[in-house]
Amino acid sequence: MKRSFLRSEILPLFHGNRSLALGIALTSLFIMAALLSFVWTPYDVTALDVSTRLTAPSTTHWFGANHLGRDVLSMTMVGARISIAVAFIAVGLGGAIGVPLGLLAAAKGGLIDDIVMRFGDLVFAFPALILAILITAVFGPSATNAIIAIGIFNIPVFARLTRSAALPIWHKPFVQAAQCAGKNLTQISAQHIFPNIRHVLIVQGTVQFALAILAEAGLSYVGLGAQPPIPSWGRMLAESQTMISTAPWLVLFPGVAIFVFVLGLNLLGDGLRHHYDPRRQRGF
Amino acid sequence: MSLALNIKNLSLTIDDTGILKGVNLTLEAGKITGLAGRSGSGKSMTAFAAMGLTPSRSRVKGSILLDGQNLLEKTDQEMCALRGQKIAMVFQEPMTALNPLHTIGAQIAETILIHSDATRDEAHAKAETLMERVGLPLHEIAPTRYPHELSGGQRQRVVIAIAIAMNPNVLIADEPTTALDVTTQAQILSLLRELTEQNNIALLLITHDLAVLSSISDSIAVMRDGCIAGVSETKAFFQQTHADNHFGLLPAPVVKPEKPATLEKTPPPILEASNLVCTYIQNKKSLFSEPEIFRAVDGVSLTIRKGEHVGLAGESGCGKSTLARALLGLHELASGSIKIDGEDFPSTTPAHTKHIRKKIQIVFQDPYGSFNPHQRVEQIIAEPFHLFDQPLSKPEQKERVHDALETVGLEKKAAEQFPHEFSGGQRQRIAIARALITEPEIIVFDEATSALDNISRNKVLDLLMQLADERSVSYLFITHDLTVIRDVTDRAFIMKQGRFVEEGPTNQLLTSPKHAYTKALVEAAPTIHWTDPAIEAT
Repeated sequence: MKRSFLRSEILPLFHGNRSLALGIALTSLFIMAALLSFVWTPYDVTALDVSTRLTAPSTTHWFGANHLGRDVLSMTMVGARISIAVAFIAVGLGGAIGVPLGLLAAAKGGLIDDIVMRFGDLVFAFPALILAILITAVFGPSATNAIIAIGIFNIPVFARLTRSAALPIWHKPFVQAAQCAGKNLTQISAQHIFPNIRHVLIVQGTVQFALAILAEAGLSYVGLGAQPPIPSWGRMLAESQTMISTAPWLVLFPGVAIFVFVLGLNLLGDGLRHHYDPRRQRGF
Repeated sequence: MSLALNIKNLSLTIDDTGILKGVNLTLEAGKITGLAGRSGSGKSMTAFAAMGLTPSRSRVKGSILLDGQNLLEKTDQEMCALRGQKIAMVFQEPMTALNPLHTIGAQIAETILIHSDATRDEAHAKAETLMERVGLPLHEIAPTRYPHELSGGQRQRVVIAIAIAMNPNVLIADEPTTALDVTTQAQILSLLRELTEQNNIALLLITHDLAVLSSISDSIAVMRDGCIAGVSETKAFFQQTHADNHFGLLPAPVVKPEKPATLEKTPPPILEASNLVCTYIQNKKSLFSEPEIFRAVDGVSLTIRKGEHVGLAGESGCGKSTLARALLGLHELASGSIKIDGEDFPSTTPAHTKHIRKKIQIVFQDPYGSFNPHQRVEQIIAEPFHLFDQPLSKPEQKERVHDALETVGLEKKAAEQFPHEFSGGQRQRIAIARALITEPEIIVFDEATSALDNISRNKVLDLLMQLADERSVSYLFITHDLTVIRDVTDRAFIMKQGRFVEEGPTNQLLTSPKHAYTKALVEAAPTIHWTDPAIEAT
């Protein structure tokens, strides 16, 4: 049974969809590294060792060591954990609030629709990073505040997308049939509208995830994300930029990690978009 | 008698599934060849193959000869030159076939510019003569108009003008009138007939509607399962005693059960609607003007009694679908009142409204859009159980769903399947099962059979008649198709611009219509012209 599911559902996903396969591969590489960091890292990530400070990549320190002698590979692995956690919770928060708001706006229309959408415009009026800086500057820099800041920006993104995807579904005959069956707006939104716009949200979710990773790196870079000694990619970049000519590996590895992970997520989003393309009717 | 297009042993496979299996068909110049067949029989794919527009994953074999050249051996570039020049096509949906951002004159001229050395001025001058030619007089329809400013029939005329711009030898029309009203359909068909004869075009007219073919085609080819099941002269095809039972294409007529005599006494009214008015607010013309209010339904009253089958006919845009939605409480009433089984609908409390809602259900036109694609048939049919005051237990629901499926002639195992696994006719049966599940007093059918081919249509209507006989449920058929009204209703209303213009017993209405509009509708409706060999012989 499981095998046939794999064959009929999972494998055809990759047929002629290279970006999906590559996206999944890159993304899972980082998720695996992050999970592994819970149980094992090559060195203790907080341990300082003056004897190895600024050593170049070698067999003992694959990614080299920084000016305090901390192992860069270990820091990159734990950094992935922070990036993923912040991005995941922030996007989840945005979706958990934004999607119901969008469904509500589409279902009710009129004044409520206007209020929700104008609130969205208000948030959009500030560039994402400026908004995050504002929030973390007021409430103090920490990973939690970074999550909240990125999450708030994600709410209108999801609300707006949900609303625009839900509106055409409201005009489908099956929704009218549900109204004839006496279902109220909440029930119709949950049972008929949401399942039919799910795929759009999944695609947008991946893209937002990539943007959140970047936002978290940006916040940490200016010192408003996770605080030392917790390693994060953004701060690793900030701390080592003065040593870029003497120890370029210190900037290289976290930089490449951000770049490849965001690339992987974008490829995944692209692949999913292609997979759910209505012109490729699969009748799911 | 000259051969314009010769399709020989054409076969087409998509992903190893055979769609066409050896099609042989010839088209003669100046003649109309009808291509009929049930949906999915390969009619449209034959046309696409001739136009070189087959899907990318398909493989085509055989030959299609036009002027002695095999179209299947042409490169894409050579086909582009031929398309529009020698062979042209008219599509079903006139709105999507035109570019909404260009004027109609420019779109006609574009074809001329691509296929000839004409200058821009010459092309536009020719576009104007073409518009006159297809019955769009310049003083009424300026070439500077945009597609959305035209009616469906006018748009289809523009599409035809583009198709005949280069005077092609072969014209393929794929369901050219299916999206149009009956009166417009009659005009477009006579235009096609006229063009075929005057320009000596070979026309391949693809349709599922035999009545259309009976009035204009010279010969009829019937497709079945990707093959031509037979070709026959139109006259011979419609002889009552056709040798091959019309290649299995003509449906058995709908059997309307005799009404028991007790119904003669007036039964209680089930649905009473009085002075219904439904409005739409239109977009403002300018920022400061008051929005205009369009009265889609404008003071309509009707009463339907228990066990009655009532028809409501009218052309698109006459307000009949809005009326259907209003009767079901899906569209707000501007004024007027609805009573179902003697009680006001909608009622003052939501709970009581739900109680009344149980008595009225609807079957929609589109068998594809009527179901949530993510739900199984069981969930779909069980949805109206929500209206019950006392929720049913799961096993009881399941049993009732199975009963309903059997009632509409589907198997029990259909409950586990998804809607996309069914054909159009089967889907309408599922929709009927969903409407029946609450045992309503009245069911509204909003164009419920117009997306079906003849055979499925008659089977569905037969089922409805049989159900009515068993359960004395009332029906309201809302349709643009007078044959549905004729086949199954006792009484009918004719609607125009939001009002009823005529009502009466169906027979009387269709045989001796009084209002001019009813007359026009009845006359324009295509009917099959039967030829009786006995009369022919004498």
